[in-house]
Amino acid sequence: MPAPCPYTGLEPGMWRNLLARAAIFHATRTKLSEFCDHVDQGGVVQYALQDLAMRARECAARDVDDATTVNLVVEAWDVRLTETLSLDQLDAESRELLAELQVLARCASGDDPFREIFAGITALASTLYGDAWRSATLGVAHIRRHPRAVLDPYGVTATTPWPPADAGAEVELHIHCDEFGPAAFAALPMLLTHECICHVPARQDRASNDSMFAEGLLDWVAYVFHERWAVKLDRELAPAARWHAEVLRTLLSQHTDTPEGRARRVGHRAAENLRAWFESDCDQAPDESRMTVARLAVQLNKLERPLVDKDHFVSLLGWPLPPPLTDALRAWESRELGADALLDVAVRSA
Amino acid sequence: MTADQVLAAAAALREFSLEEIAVFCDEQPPVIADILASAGPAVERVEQDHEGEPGEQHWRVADLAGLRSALRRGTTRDPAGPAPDETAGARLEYAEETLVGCEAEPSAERRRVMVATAVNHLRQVLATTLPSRPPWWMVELAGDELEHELRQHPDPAIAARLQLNVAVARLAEGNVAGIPIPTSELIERATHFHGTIPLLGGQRLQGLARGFIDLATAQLAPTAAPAVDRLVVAVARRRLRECDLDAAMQRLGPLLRTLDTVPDRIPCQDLYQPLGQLPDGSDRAIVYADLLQILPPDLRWQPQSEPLPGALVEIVAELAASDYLSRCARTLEADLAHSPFYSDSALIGQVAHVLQELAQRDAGMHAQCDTTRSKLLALAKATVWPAPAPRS
Repeated sequence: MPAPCPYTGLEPGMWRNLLARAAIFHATRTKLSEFCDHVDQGGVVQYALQDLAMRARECAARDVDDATTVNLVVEAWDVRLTETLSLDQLDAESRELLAELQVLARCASGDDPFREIFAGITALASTLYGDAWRSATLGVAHIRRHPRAVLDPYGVTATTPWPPADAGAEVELHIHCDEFGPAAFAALPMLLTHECICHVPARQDRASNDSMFAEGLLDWVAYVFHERWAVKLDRELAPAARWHAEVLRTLLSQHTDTPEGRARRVGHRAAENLRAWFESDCDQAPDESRMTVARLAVQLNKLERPLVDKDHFVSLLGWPLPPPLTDALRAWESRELGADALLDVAVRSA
Repeated sequence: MTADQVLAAAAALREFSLEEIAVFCDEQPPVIADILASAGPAVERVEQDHEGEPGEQHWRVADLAGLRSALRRGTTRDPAGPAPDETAGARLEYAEETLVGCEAEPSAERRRVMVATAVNHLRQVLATTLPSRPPWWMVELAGDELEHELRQHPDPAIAARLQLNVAVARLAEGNVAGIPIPTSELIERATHFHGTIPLLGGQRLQGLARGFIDLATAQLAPTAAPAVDRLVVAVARRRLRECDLDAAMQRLGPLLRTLDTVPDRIPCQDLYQPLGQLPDGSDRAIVYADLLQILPPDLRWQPQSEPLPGALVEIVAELAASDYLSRCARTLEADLAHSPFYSDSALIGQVAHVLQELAQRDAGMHAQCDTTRSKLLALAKATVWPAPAPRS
């Protein structure tokens, strides 16, 4: 008897299709970076990935439960990998990788890896935000197009609709089924960390995809925490998760033709300027300044203040930082001023 | 590296529980506790005498300077500050979109903050174009140095874009602070921008140019005047927005001149102003333009000029037509005199309603009136910059 899809609005067949692949990527996560590299080069590993997608689609169409679906896909892919590994003309590197993937994939289970990643991130984010944390649930949806116009291996995106419901925020993971490969899976922790750092606990009047605070400064902070949390979340996935987070960051920063891309670029720059100022004016050590920026951004995100006020604060972080702000920052850094009062100083300068 | 990361987190947090510092580190609490313990006396454990979970470990930094000194050992400080900023393009686009988007913000306070945000980003872009390289917050948008540099800019398209940005930013700042720019300067700018429209490619820059037009006319919009006068200017401003950009920029100068030269800036206190009679018995008058739309087709009139383009028309009309227009104008004025509405949009909506009632009195005018009403309601819905805030 098949279990119902755990995500509202996602067709059971599509869910089983995504789950089967995610389960195999999860099982093979120690080899995920190499898997991606070989896929990028084309050839037999890319064929193996395409074959996995085909097997997942076939098996997901059957009316069976999640665990059975995963088992069926693992078995079918195993057979194809055995056939491939029997080829005489296979290069040594590909042979080694496919053999390792085959062994690892056999450990895949029907447990939901999306929920597991999300649970780990929300546990850490709720500790970071304390009382300001808003409970969050995960939704998974299928999108028919790649989220960006220029195709990249990250056919996945996440969003947190605003305003949140009384019961809490819902983080929606949108996956383009045709593009859901190992790189997209490895990028999930970063995407979900962004949502949980930037949006789930946000206290503001509205949401805006061009906010230099929410999509820029806080996104930089999300990368800081993802770097810290990757091992805690999943030691085996951590290398691939960190690598693909950085690739995704570079890729998204190049999209300055979109409001999000501009916000990201300028907001990241603002964070770096603030770091440099904490180091030069407050005598902070490099890693301390990174965490001080993160601490300040989290405090500002907790404030029940208009988003335009927070965006205004970011607009003041051009180098060199202006004197009224530096005085206030110095007072905040030495615990003489709260984040609310710091924001007041910034807005008064408007 | 792990120890440095934990101690750096300790320096950033100063006083913390083990659970709190753990989210700033990639190590688990027992390892973190060992690292903190080994960093004494710069870091010390605090005996718990305040709220917290039982058994929760609390720590504090006792010697911040010493801790930082240890953290910096082996590192060199870069005195040059951050790497060169390569965000000018993104900042400029953001400033432009914010300046365009401000007009739709209903809250005056938020609009003020949005304008200041856009101006900050614009100043950061402009600071890099000035030879003196001033700190960005010192860039004077109305300064001679900036004006001179933008005129000398080797790329005419960039020069036109930056000049437009500066003009809109100054007007927007003036709008939210209640500090107007001299009308003569606006007229000169309008003439200049009319010549640079071909250089302003793309929807965003065209929107910004429309923002200039809108802000310039907002500066001369009456706020405390009778409803009739506010109506006439509100309609004229919105009709100018409906024109294509080239025509709108061309008409802006004359419109500003008209609004600025009429005594007390009030263009008209009546919706029908007789100017006298011609030898052939026909009447000359200035009439509110929308009244002409509900005039029965058998009544004759000729346009002569547009004292306030889009809102007031000077006509020569046969006696019956002028009588009809005069009566409708009085009805509309009477209705507006008791208008409970403060906003321009509501006033225009009120006019649409009265014109419909007037047309219903005349058989055969329904279709014509429906069109006029629809157009007026569309005008009412258009978003425009409000008149400048009272000077604080």
